[in-house]
Amino acid sequence: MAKDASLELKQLIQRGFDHHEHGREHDALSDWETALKLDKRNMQAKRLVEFAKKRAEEVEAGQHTPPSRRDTIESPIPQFLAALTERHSDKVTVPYEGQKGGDPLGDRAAPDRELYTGGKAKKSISSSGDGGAPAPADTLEDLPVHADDVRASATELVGECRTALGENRPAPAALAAELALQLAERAPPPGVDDVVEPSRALFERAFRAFMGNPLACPIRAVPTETLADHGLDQRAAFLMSRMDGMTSLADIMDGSGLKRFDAVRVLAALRRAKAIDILPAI
Amino acid sequence: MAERVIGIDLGTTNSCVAVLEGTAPTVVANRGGYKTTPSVVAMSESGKRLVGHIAKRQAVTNAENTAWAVKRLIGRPWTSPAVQAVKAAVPYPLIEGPHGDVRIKLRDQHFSVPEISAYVLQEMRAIAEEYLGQTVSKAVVTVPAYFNDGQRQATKDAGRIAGLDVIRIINEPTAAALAYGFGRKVDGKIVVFDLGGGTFDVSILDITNGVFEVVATAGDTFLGGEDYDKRLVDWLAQGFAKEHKVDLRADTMALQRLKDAAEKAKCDLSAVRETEINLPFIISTGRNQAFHLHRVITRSKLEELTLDLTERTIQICRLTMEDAGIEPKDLAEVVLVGGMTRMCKVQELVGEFFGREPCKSVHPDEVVAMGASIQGAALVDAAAAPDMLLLDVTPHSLGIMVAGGHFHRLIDRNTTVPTAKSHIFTTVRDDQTSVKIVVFQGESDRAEENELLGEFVLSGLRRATKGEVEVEVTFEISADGIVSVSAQDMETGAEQSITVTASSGLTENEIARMASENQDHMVAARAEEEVEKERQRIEKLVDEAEALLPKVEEILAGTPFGEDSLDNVRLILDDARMAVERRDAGGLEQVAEPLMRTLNMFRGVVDSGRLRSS
Repeated sequence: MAKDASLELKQLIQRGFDHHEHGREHDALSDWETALKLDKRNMQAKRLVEFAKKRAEEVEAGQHTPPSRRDTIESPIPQFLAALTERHSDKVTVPYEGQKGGDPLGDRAAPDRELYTGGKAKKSISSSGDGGAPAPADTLEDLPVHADDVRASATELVGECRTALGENRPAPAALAAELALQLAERAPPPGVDDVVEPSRALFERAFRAFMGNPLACPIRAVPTETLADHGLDQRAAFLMSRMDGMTSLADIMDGSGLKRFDAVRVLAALRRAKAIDILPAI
Repeated sequence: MAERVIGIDLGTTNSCVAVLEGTAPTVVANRGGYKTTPSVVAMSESGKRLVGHIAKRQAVTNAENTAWAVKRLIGRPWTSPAVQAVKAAVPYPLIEGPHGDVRIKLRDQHFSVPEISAYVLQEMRAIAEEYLGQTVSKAVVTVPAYFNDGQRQATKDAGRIAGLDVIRIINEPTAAALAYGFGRKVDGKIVVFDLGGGTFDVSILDITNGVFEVVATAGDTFLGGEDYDKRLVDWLAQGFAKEHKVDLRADTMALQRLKDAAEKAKCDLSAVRETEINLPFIISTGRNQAFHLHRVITRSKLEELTLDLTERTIQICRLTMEDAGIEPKDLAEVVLVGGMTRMCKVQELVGEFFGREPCKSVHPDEVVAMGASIQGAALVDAAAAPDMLLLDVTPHSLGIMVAGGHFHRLIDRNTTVPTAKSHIFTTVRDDQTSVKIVVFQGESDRAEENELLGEFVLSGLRRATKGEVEVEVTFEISADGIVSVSAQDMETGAEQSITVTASSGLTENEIARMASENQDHMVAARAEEEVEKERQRIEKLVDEAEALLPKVEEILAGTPFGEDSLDNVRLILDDARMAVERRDAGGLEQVAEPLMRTLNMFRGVVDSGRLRSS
């Protein structure tokens, strides 16, 4: 193939990614098909065309919901934290992916999980942020939280992660792990590190299980610019920049240079936020 | 099936593999579709060995555990100035090896330089094997023309560790000229201008009646495409800092993305006049505060940023031509090698200096590997490349240390081998009964600044006043590049000699051990791949069985095939799912058969259910 054709092919593939990230699936398919015509043996173009065709069918059949702000991992957290401040609350129900229906992660059974907060009343929070939920807070230090409640919740989350993993429900396991970690990161002194830190191996297993086949290859499903809106940080943007539909999750994790735990945690967050799509293993 | 010999261009920055297919040298693309593979090796946190693109893409974020440009180190002693220069420039730790050689520390393991190169060679071998569908055990590997015996031997040792028999080491410019001249009539002097990712080399070759001879070579081992990338990275980072007061170079993830983008933009600018660099969310300075980098760069800006680098290559060309006593008008062709020669400004300045349009008929990234594959084919089948003869030259001057610590050259660099030269020396002290012959290789007039090859003593000389006793010292270089030095007492005929055997710094036992360890690593990696394949197969079966289960339950409800049996199959599915999740090789093997039986039963039940309902 001539040099210019090679450059054109790369540009078409890149433009296809841009279309896909903005939900313009037909345009993405068109660019990737053109790229494939330029080089019929190009495996990347071939895989992307297959993916785009399948995605178009899913959208048509109503099996795919485009990602939105509602799917962020952050939304349950501030509300969950705020719920802890309500001294008369009893339980906080954290919704899991499986509840939303049509989740591609295939969590077989994802019942509500109740998180004990030490009070008496029962409160349910929704990930959509509606229903008069308390205003989000970045840190527990801003809130009149009781240390015992935080500790009890952290313990509960670790237990939930373990149970869900044992029952082969990776999505709730990973969410519980994420919540526990965020709780530990934001808890006021003396903190809950002694509860959460020993469970890091468990959490890593949960994140890995949630990510599924490590040889599968992700691509970006939302524009990287919007990651901050999804509550994700620059590590997520960095990992997204490694995704091309040819590099496997395992290779992205190994090749990120990030700590293994951090890499898989961020990838799990990206998947939960539906910021990435996964192509099958090569 | 005839044994195939692959040609490998083991580059400082990128490597390339080719094989002669019929009469066409063919470059083999790697799994990602790229025809070159970064010569980068890294060790991940989980202890996984990363080679090629994946290693390169984490070279900044995992800098201390990523070895790159090790070609600058191969075959060099620890004390060599080049090693010390590399040590100061790279983030990965270098330490002194047990034989005064260089070792690289990645994570907690120490690797010799040939080992690291072996992993790259192995990757190239794997790429070729996948393409050819057969095992490859023989290769021709290219090295820079200035490589000394030790560096060549170390490259051969790297091949052995990679399980390859390196049947010939050839000079890179020679390989490039071979590919350029393959299938066409070329006679006269040609220049090979090789500006790669990390190094610049210029060589002048004389091609006469199919004989390729390197007549002069020079270069700069610290000048290449990466320097151009760095200029662009700095320009981008400075612009960003001006706007946002944040230095992106201080953040490893941001820097990695900057480097990737700069390299891509540089490549694009060889084809287009301007390009966009868009790095969304490159850094954040606080919670949810995302900064994006978006800039447009023109070709002329890149040329302006890097003009001095390009001019340096021309300056080296000028000196080399003067050194060889060759005028641009004497040249028949200028062949461009290395990805950087795609840059328009490079082509323009090269054209201006040599007074002719450089040849663009060969692919700059691939031509060296192609030449190596032609040579490889010719070595096992003379008919593959008839009338072709490669003549090597000695890349460095050879001589001995004389009084005052001076270096006396006996064989000048760029002398065609085989060759022999003699010189008569005299004693320098009264009553001197022995002389110590200390053999060096290099270009400095101070012996100690050159590389020590060996030493020996000729004793039993007649006692006499200084200058009276004559000793003839003879240097010989065989066609295989083996250097022998002898000293003979002209009066008595007494003689002493040494043969300089090239050493990579590794012992025979070490090479054998490293080769065996590497083989073990490959076997383990393959076994892991097999487990993964089986895991994926079982996972698909489990998915299918689980999808059928509700239907089966519905059909079997109230039949004699009761709940107990369904409980059993649920257990089988649970076991299978667990084995899949745990990637447990034994568990996968155990569940495979009952799972298949279950699935067949499910399929049968569902089919019979359909028949009944229809």
